[in-house]
Amino acid sequence: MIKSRSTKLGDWVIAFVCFIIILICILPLINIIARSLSNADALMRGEVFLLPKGWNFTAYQRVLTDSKYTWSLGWTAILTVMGVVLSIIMTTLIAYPLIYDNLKGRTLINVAAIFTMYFSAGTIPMYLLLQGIGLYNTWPVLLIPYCLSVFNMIIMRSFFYGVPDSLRESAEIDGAGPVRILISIYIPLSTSVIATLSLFYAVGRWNSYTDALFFMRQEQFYPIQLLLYNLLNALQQIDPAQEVIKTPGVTETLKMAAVMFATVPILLIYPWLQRYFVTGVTLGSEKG
Amino acid sequence: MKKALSLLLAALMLLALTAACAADEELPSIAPPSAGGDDPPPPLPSPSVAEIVEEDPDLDGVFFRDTRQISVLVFDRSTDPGTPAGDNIYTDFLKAEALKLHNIEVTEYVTVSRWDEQDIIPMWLAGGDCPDVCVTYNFQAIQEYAAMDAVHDLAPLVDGYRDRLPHMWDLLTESNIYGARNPETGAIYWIETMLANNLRLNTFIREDWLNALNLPIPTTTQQFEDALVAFRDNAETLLPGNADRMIPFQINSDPGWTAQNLLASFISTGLTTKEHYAMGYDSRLFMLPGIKEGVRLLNKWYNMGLIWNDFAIYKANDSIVDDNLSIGYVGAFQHNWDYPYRADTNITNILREQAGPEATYLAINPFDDDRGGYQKFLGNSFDRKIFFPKTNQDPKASIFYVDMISRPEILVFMQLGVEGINYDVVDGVPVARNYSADDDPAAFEAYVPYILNSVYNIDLTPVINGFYAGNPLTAGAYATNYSGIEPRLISEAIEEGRRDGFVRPNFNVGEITSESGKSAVLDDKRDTTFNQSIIASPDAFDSTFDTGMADYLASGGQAIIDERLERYERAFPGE
Repeated sequence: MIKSRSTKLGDWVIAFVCFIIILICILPLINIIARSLSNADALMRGEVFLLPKGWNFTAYQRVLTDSKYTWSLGWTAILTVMGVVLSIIMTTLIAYPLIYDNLKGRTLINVAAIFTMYFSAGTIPMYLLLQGIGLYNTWPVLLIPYCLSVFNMIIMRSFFYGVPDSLRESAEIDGAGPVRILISIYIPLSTSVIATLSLFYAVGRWNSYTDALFFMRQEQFYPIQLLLYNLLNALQQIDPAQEVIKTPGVTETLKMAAVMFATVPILLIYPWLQRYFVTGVTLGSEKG
Repeated sequence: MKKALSLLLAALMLLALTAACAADEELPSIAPPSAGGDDPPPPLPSPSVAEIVEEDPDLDGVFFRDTRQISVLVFDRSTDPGTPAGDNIYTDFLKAEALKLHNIEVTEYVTVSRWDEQDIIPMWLAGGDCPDVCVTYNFQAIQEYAAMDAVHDLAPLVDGYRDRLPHMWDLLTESNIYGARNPETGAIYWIETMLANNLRLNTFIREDWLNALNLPIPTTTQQFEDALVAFRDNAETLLPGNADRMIPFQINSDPGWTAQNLLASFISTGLTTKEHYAMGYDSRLFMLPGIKEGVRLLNKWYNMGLIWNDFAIYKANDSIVDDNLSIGYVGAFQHNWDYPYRADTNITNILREQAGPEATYLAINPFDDDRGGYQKFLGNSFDRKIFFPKTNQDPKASIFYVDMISRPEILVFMQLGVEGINYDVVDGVPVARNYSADDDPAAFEAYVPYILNSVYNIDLTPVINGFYAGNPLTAGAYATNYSGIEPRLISEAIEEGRRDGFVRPNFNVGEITSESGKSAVLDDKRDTTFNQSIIASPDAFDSTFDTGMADYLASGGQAIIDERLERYERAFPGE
């Protein structure tokens, strides 16, 4: 295709803007890597920007040999896998019936679901509910209460709308029931949206710590992000009391190493799911 | 479906519009607060003290005849390296002592994140899940818990068993134990614990820079300004190669804290107790008369290039703020009274490595007030608040536990740790042992179980924050235990920090309802006003400050002044 001069200029402008956006996204990450690998003196002098100074691996050594962090990382990975499976099942099971025009109370279910996107009762009622049903301070509390995202459910429902009705009708003529149609037709056709939503759920679960902060009291079930949150707080809070009998504190490099430790695993998932990503998000957007 | 969504969105828009309209309401005047109605409010009845309990069948002296069980809240600061906050050698020690001394079994030390306690404790209160002995840093939260009738009235216990709680009374005294007493009912819903050291802020200046430029130690605001100008003009001499990094006076995005001694010197020293109380809600003095002139001076200095150009974007906890001090770019600053000498910040020791052994921050008092002194505000001796939730089935056992953690011998052990491991006694003074994971990993590993998760173990002995003064060992630990710091600097800091210090009056005149839930929004407006006014051009200063102040008052500041005044006049009629 022959491009006009103005089109070429437009491409360059777009490329430039994209480049700037990439820089904005990637520079902080590189900075964190550099800080996690630098020695404390260089950090304090503000000499570290994109390249480490005075190479120092002790922070990583510390994080990787501390069973608290490694166990928590493994537990968070298990939680994430279980959470994604559960969430995808729940999302599918709610989105699928809603495409049937003859479903009784369909509008009510839709409104009730959307209502929860705008209003929530708050932490204390949630706590009372979880306590009442026996979930509080048990590990399933990190999976069940937030296993369904209405936003994701709407994406999946819209995607299902995009599957031609004729496929469903022909299956019905062949005698397939709704469950069979879901398993044999809709799910195989929906791998891109399932992959996309899995990514959404996985990132959400991986990054979440407030549910554990409020509803989990057993430290062995803390996800990695809660440990990270506590670690960062331990560094940042200033108490009026002065420290005389010395207690060793956490260092800036340790903080950065912990950030990397908690971030890298989820970053690694992206390339695997990326090819589904655009298709999954945009396909469902045509109807809804 | 679409219709329902439209309705929902319309309702949301209406809500947002209503909120916006409310924010645009007419501003109340900044004039002195009105005294309320025409009729003087009736005086309050004096609260009575509960009868001493002479005979108690449950107790043999201070020992319960049957074993009692309680649970205790402890803050978790995620000290790393450290031990589990609720299960370590120090909690084991307390459990053993409680059983031995009072026949009380501590079933669990329930941990709560230090930084989220004010979100989590209300949740536990609502669910009946709170430990029996609770503690909070948050004054407004505990006021709300009391207003909700969610906590026990401790007055019958502290008065009724006064003779059997000698350690708690000796340590906290009437001023703290009655500090939260309701003036109308006599109820005590929480015990104010002791802040051992109420020094707050000092101004520090580079003593070696003053010497290098042959300048006297500033004793007036003008001399201080002259010193800052000299630092600025001699940046090449003082910071060869880094002259552009020179910061004559460093503040951060919280000027009400990092320039507080300067601001305090502009407040009239003739304010009455009533005025101090009525207008003294804000910890940064924002509503006290005279503050504007203090901010005007900061504005002038900013425009003269004497104040850190980037101050407004850095908070106190940003490491760059401390790094500027450690590297030696800063000529003067204000902070906690001993901040540059502390082991955790290690500022002075690093400064000397970076800028030479003579580099020193010296505590001074340069900001002269309207009577020629150095008005500054000290903290009161109140620290955290101990309370027993209504779900506590055994408040009597709980109060004996509080007495136990007030015992001198227990405080000394909890504050210092184990002799020979945590510290050694040299010339009668405890000197902390230092362990390094890099130099001797095995020794460090052996030391880890003995680490105090909080400074002086304050989270396990919440009755006191700071060294216990009642024992020579802990009392003597102050000035000599700053690693690498000359005792003269600590002594100067204590002396200058105390000079003309003034504890702002604080009374428990009942709940001030207008303060409830306001702190976040008002603090934000205050800091915005401070920062915008300081960086404004001198011409725009008045309008910037006045607009910000009017907004602050309209957003709840004026209502707080009015209610405090009304409450005060009711509690102290005729004053």
